[in-house]
This record gives sequence, structure tokens and C-alpha cells, in this order.
Amino acid sequence: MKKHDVLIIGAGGAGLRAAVAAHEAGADVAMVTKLHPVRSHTGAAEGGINAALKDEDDWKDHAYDTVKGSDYIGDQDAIETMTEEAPNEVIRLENMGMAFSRTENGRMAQRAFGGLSFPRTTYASDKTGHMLLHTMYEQVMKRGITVYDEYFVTNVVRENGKCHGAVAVDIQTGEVEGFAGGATVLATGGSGQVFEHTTNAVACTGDGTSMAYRAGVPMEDMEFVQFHPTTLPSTGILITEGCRGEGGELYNNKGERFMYEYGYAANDGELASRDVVSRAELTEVQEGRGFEDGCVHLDLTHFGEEKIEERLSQILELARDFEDVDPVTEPIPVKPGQHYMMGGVACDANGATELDGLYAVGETACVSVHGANRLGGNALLELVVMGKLAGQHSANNHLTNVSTSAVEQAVDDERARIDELMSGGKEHQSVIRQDVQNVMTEKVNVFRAEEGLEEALEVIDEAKERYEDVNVKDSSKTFNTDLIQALELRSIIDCAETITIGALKRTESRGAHWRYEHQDRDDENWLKHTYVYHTEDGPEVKYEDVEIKDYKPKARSY
Amino acid sequence: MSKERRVESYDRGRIEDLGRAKDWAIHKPGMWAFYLHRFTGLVLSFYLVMHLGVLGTGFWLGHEEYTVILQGLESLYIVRVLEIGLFAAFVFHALNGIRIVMFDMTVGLDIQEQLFYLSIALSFAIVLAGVPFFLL
Amino acid sequence: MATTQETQKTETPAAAEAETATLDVFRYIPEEDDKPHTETYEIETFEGMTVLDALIKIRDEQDPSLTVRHSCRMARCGSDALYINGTQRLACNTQVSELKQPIDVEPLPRFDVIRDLVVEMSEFYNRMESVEPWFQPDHEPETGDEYLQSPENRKNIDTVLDCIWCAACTSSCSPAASDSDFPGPAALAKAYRFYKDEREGEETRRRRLEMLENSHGIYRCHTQFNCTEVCPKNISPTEAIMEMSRDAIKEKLRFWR
Ligand SMILES: Cc1cc2nc3c(=O)[nH]c(=O)nc-3n(C[C@H](O)[C@H](O)[C@H](O)COP(=O)(O)OP(=O)(O)OC[C@H]3O[C@@H](n4cnc5c(N)ncnc54)[C@H](O)[C@@H]3O)c2cc1C
Ligand code: HEM
Ligand code: FES
Repeated sequence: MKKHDVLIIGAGGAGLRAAVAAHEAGADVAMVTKLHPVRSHTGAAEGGINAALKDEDDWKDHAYDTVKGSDYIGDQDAIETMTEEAPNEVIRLENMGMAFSRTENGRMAQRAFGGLSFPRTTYASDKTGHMLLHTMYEQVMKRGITVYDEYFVTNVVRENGKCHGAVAVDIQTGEVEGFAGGATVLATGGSGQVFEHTTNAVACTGDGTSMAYRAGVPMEDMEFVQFHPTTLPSTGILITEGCRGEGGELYNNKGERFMYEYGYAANDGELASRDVVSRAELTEVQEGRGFEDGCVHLDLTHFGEEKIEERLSQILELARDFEDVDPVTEPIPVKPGQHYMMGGVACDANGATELDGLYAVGETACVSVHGANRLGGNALLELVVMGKLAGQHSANNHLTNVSTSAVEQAVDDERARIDELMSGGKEHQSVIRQDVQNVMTEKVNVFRAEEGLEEALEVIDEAKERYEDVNVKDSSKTFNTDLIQALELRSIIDCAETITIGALKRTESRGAHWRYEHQDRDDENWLKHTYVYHTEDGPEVKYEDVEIKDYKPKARSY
Repeated sequence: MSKERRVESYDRGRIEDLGRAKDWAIHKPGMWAFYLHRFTGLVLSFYLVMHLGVLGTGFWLGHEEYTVILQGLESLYIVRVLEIGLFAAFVFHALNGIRIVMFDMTVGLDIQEQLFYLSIALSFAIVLAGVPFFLL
Repeated sequence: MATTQETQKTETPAAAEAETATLDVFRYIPEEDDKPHTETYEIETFEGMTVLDALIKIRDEQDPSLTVRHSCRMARCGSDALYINGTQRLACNTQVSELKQPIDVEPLPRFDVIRDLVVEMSEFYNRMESVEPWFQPDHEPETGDEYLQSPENRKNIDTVLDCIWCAACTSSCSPAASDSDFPGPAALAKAYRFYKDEREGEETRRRRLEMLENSHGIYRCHTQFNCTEVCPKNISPTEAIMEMSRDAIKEKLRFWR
């Protein structure tokens, strides 16, 4: 068994930042991750990271934009913490060597992003996430922090109201191993693989969210799923919002800039909040003004080759390699795709969950700084600010009170479960996975209707049953990805279920959540967070009022 | 923190790597340039040893013997042809050597392929021009 | 502006007959095989299919034991560098339609094989770490908070910054194969990323150069250009190495200093 003061599960931007902070606070830190850190999906983030750096800018404006973007359901205290800390943390990143793009006078460059009242998105060409991930991993290497890579964490260990560590499968050897930890920090990223069309990586399966859920910690606000308005139709690969930030235009098949012409966002046009643009696109398509495959066109041709090359070089590559269009001369077909989970493990601004010793941070967590809709450039910010706080806070826990026998017991249980999984079954995991992904994409999409949601819930219920007798065909112990996928499937089903239940129960439209029968925001009844608990007889839903402080709800228009 | 292996793995070894190299088509121009340069370099080194050996006969056996040996060698047609080969090796090695020295000065790195073809072409031209001198 | 909107092609996919592709895939499962062997698979292709798509299709439909590391599907995570038709490439950004068939798919050469297409990466990671790839400024930030960097200087390192640690270059490099103390192209390109970054300052720059300037360092390069040819991100490690060795030699030549 491996023992450390602080265990960080997941090595994306959030996990790495937390590891550095906990190490600086003097703890013995180890990271356990199913991918090598530089393979994490933070590397895919393109656009940038928000911070009120300039003298003319004010973090309070940033906070207001974020609250408004969240459709007033984000926690205002946490949002203030995040936006106030933002400039410090972004400068910290720079001081760690992150290669931000520069202005003529050598300072960090910033650009406009959707939903922001000031161009405060700090960027590193269109590879901000890549630079952030690598910079943070460099810092982890520098400090000699232990990294256990290619270990798949399956469970956190709960006993007597405390978390004692985690259980993982060594992907390379197939052995189950115990990790005892004074604090366990979940930083496992998003769960985009719940959907079939997504910008997320194959590894984004919501494992951390599901682990906490099964340890009795509720999932918060899972119904709020962000659909990005500009993804490539064939693969779901993201075309950054930076394209629109730089002046890219959206057209329907009549050649109209529909964001303005049809009044979806008469002021901000293409730069309205993501949920607004995604719905506008789908409405255009449904009303017959779209292109083949349910797309609209994103036009960058007026930029000229040089500007695209300089500021959006990755887009050039992606569009050419994966969609076979050349953005310099032709518009790019785009459509909405699953992008980000606003919901996740319920926790406070220090990342602490209800369970003593268990923390969550990053996309996996729901501090609720994004509320019902996340603004572009705020996720990377959340990773570093909340990562730092969670790291510092978790370092207060030491190995002293940890029960190693609880971890050993959990290892034995997990070994038994895996033997059971490997012993054969009726249906192959990939079949069940595809059924869930398809129904989620069709029924729990940008537009949600009661009937569809109920249908989805039925399919998910069935999937839960089918999972009881799932089949893993590969019998090898070495690098058995068939087994890993079967383990991931449980997380996918958990997330799908909570998303759908939350969506079904929330009878209003707010932010990214839109209900056909209830198309208006209902502040009277629904200024509430959804909490879903795992129980023996299925999920149990509870609600809690949102604390409204300085920023009172107003109609949200762009 | 440096990483350690956790599983036994299969070492494909040099043999399998060489086995793959049998498919000449997989080698890229830069690699061909390297192979040719190393080959010609070895040829030249080998020649240098032989050359010193022949020169040494003058020292050990006296200058008459030396003259006989040299005339004998030069009367062999095969030696003449080999001399063309030596000349070709030298010319290519020198020209490609200049190409490599240019890289060391970071000149022409982005046209390395073209420079390789250029050194081949020039070598051909120079060797062709030189053929009469060797065969006459 | 509206004119560009009319150029949409409306081809019906029905016209295209279902085409197939044949893949010869390197297989090795340690529990079952003493030696690797080649397995041949035939699959139906679709438009825009990548080699990774093809491998996933084989795994999902024909042989669930086929194993390949992959994650992002967008040439970003660097998990799936393979040896495809005699060249190191990322499976996820290589189109099946552009390859000669049967498509030969092998794990990265010169890396030990854990299973199927999965190779042992630990030595590669150690090589990366050996060049101290972290920011080491020798002074405090000029402005009190951030370091200043000219846009030109930033632009110089733009391509090398894009390295995704896929190890394609290191696999292609014969000096790296024969000298385990040689960091290899990826690590040297990473070193160059810091070496060129003016924010670190003159003192660190000199120290970095001294660290690399030896026969197991930059002078090991034979300018074979294999790394440059295979890099999926169009980085030229050769250029980076040559620039550092030029600087090193120049500094040595100024012996009177
Ligand atoms: C294409 C794209 C573009 C984006 N662009 C932007 C942007 O411009 N600005 C912005 O602010 N945000 C952006 N985002 C959002 C942002 O990038 C993500 O929310 C953020 O990177 C998530 O980071 P993370 O550290 O929480 O998780 P990840 O980076 O996904 O890391 C998850 C880690 O957890 C590990 N892990 C997962 N499951 C397990 C398990 N069971 N056991 C062990 N380890 C596990 C993985 O190995 C990985 O290391 C974008 C997202 C995408 C997909
Ligand atoms: C005439 C006798 C010569 C001999 C015997 C000779 C031999 C060699 C040998 C054996 C090598 C090693 C090849 C390798 O590293 O792969 C070599 C390399 C080299 N030679 Fe020569 N050479 C000769 C002349 C020249 C000339 C005239 C030049 C240039 C004008 C030259 C330039 C070089 C260079 C630059 C290298 C380094 C190549 C590398 O790094 O791979 N050589 N030579
Ligand atoms: S799958 Fe990530 S680089 Fe190919």
C-alpha cells in the first residue's frame, strides 16, 4: 500500500495546481492518474483564461459578468473569491514560465470572449490549455512530486464518516492497489463521454464525480451541461470561441448573420453567452435555415491568412486535417456539441466536500462558480484558483488519522468486483455505452422535453441493469483497456442518470438548461441548487436555495 | 521524479530494427544523406590506410620497388575504375560535408533535402568530368 | 460577404459505395504470445476515417483485445504516435485514404513493447526530465509582477512550445537509440524552448548551454532530419539543436574573453 499525506486523483490543470499548492504547504503529495499528466484534456483548451489584469478593468466587473453568465445561480461568494484571485493566479502562471501571447510592449495580451464586458481573456495563441498544462507539469517535475501514472482510480475509501484514501487498478499490470491518504483530492475532469457528440476526450468519463457520489457525497447541478456552439460536425472537435472573439461571423444558409437578424442577441451578436448561441444555431437549423448535417457556417475568410496564421493557427490545422475545409478561403461548418459540465461533486470554495478528508476541484467539482452556464475562459481560471485553495486546504490533513485496514478492505472488495467483471457476462460494455451516449445526445440535448427526458431515464435504468451482467472480453491483465472501459461505463451511467433526473425535475429554463414546456426562468421557485444523493433505492434529490448577495437577478440579455 | 518500469516488456532489439531497415523505401532523404556520408567517410578512411601502406613500400623496399608496384597497379584496369569510385566518394563526401558544415552554422536547415540532391548532382557532374583523366 | 455562403456542396453520400481497408496490425499480448505477430483485419471505411478510427472500429467490432493508447482524438494529447507504413505518425490525424494498403501498423520502433501498440514510455519521460524543463529565471520580474517578453521573442518559440511529447521524433532518431545518455530530439527541443526564452535571463541561458554542450548532448546530433520529418506538429528539433550547438561553438571560439 502506498501512503501519502495528500493524494491527488487526476493530473489535469486542477490536479497539478493543487499538487503544487499542497507541496508548498509542506505536505507529502502524490498524484494518481489514469493518463500521464501531459495527456490530460486540459491541453485541449484553446481560447484563454480570464483575469482583470489591466488598470482599466475591475475584478468586480468580472464577478458581475460571471454571475450574469451563470444565470444568477452561481454562488456569489465563490465567484468573488475566484475573480478577485484571478489576476494573482494568472501572474503566478506567467512567473512559472507559461508562454502567454504578448502585446507590443511585452506584456501579456488579452482578447474579447463571449459574455465578458471587457477583453480580459489572457491567451497563449490558441493553445492556452496546452501551455497551462505543460507549465504546471513542469512545476510538478521541478518539485519532484510523486506521480503514479496509468493507475485507474475506481473508488474512494469511506469509513466512519471519513475518507481514508483510494483504490486503483494499475493499468499496466492489472493489479489492484490501495492508496492511503490524509486527504484525497478528486480532480478527474469532465464527463463529456456521457454524450456521443462531444469536444471532450475519450478519457473524460466522470470517474471522480461518480466515485464521490458512491461515497455518499451529492452531485450538484448536474442538469447544467454546456453545449459549445462551434464544434466540427464529424468529430466534435472544438473551434475556439476565440474565432468569434477575433471577429468571426456566423451565417445561416440564406447568408444572414442570424444572431443579429433574428434578434437572438441584438447587442453582442456572435459573442453572446454560449447557451444563447447554441440555441440560436439549433433554432436556425430546425426552421430550415441550416446547412447539411445540422450545421451553420462560421466565417473567418475576412481575416486574411496572416491573422489566422498568427492568432488561430491551431484552428487552421484542425479544420484542414479533420474537416477538410480551409478557413482562409471558405467558411467552417459548425454545430453545437457537449463541451463542459457545470455540475459535479458538491463542495465549498476550498474544495472540501461533505465527507471529511475528501476534496474536489476542477471540472469534476461544483463549487458553483459557473452556475447554469460557464463563460469561456473561466474554467481554466477555476482550475488554478480553486486548485490552489484546495491544495492548501487539503495539506492540513495528515496521514495520522487514516485507517489502513479500511483501505485494505476496500482493495479486497475491489479485487472481487473486478474478478466478477472479468468472469464473463451477457453484453459487451461498448454496446451499453453506445446506447447511453446515443439517447443522451438525442434526448438530453440543448432542447429538452419531458417526454424525451423520461425516455432517456428508462434507457439509463435499463443500462444500469444490463451493467450488472456486463461482459469484458479481454482476459489479459496487462493494459486491459476493455476492462478499463467497463469500469468507466459505471461512471458514465451514474453521470447520465443524475443529469437526466436533474433536468427532468427542474421545470424552468435557465442558462444551459432549456425545457420545452417551461421556456422561462422561474426565479420564484428555482433559485435553487439541485443535489442528487446515491442511495440503495436509487438517486434521491434535494434542493437548497441559492444565496443572493450583491448581484440581484435581472433578465439576461446580450 | 524519475520513472521506473513497472512491467516486463518485449525488447524488439537491434535485429528487428535492422529487419525493418531492409525496406529501403522507409528511409527519408536526410537519412540517405547520412548513410552515404558515413559510407564514403569509411571508404576514404580505408583508402587512407591503403594509401599509406603503398607509400610505405618506398620507405621499406626502396624507390625502385615502389615505382614497380605503382606502375603495376596503374596498369590494372580495375584499379583505374576503383580510382573513379574513390574520387566519387571523395567528391560526394566533401560536398555533403560542406552541406553539414552549413547546418552547423544554421544555414539551409529548411532546404536540407534540396541541398542533398544538389550535392548528389554536383558530384555526378564533377566525377563525369573527371573520368577521362582516370581512364587515359 | 454573402457570396461565400452559396459554395456549399450538396453531394449525396449514397453515391459512394462502402469501401474497405486492410490493416496489418502488430499484436503482442505477454500472457499469450512469446513473440509478436501480425494480424490482418479488413474493415469498412467511411469518409474522413483516420487510422485511430480504424483501430477503434476493429476493437469495437472484431477484436476487443486490440490495445492502443489514445485520448483526445485531436492531435493534442500525444498518446497515439505509432509506426504506420514505415513512418512515425499520430494515428488520430492520419487519414486512411492517404495510405497505401495494406496499412502496416506497428508500435513505435526502438521502444520496448508492453502490449500490442502500447510501448514503455518511462525512459522517454526520464529523457525529457533530464534537461531540467522548467522555468528558471535568474532575476525578479521587471514590472514587479510579470516578466516582459517581446512578441518577436515569443514568436521564435511558438513552434517548439507546441510539443505534445508523443515521442515520434525520439523513436525515429538513431543516435538516441544508441546512446541512452543522449536526451534525444524531443527533450532538446524542450530545452531550446527555455534556452530561447529571454525571460530566463543571460545567466540561465549560459548554464543551460553548458549543461547540453557535450558528446552526449547537442553534439550527438548527426543532422539526419528524421525527427523533423516525422514531427506531427511541424517542429524542427534539428534546427533547435543546431542553433544551440552553433551558439556553443561561437562562445568557445571567443577564447580571449
Ligand atoms: C476542447 C476544449 C476547449 C476548452 N477551452 C477552454 C478555454 O478556452 N478556456 C477555459 O477556461 N476552459 C476551456 N475548456 C474547459 C477546460 O479546459 C476544462 O474544464 C479543464 O481543462 C478541466 O481540467 P481538469 O483538470 O478538471 O481535468 P482534465 O484536464 O480533464 O484532467 C483529468 C485528469 O484526471 C485523470 N483521471 C480521470 N479519471 C481518472 C480515474 N478514474 N483515475 C485516475 N485518474 C483519472 C486524467 O488522467 C486526467 O489527468 C475547454 C475544454 C475543452 C474540452
Ligand atoms: C579525405 C579524407 C576524409 C576522410 C577519411 C573522412 C572521413 C569521415 C568519417 C569516417 C566521418 C564519420 C561519418 C559520420 O559521422 O557519420 C566523417 C564525417 C564528416 N566528414 Fe569527413 N572525411 C574526409 C574528408 C572530409 C572532407 C574533405 C570534408 C569536408 C569538406 C569532410 C567533412 C565531414 C563532416 C562534416 C563530417 C561529420 C558528419 C556527421 O556529423 O555525421 N570530410 N568523415
Ligand atoms: S489521440 Fe490524442 S494525439 Fe492522437
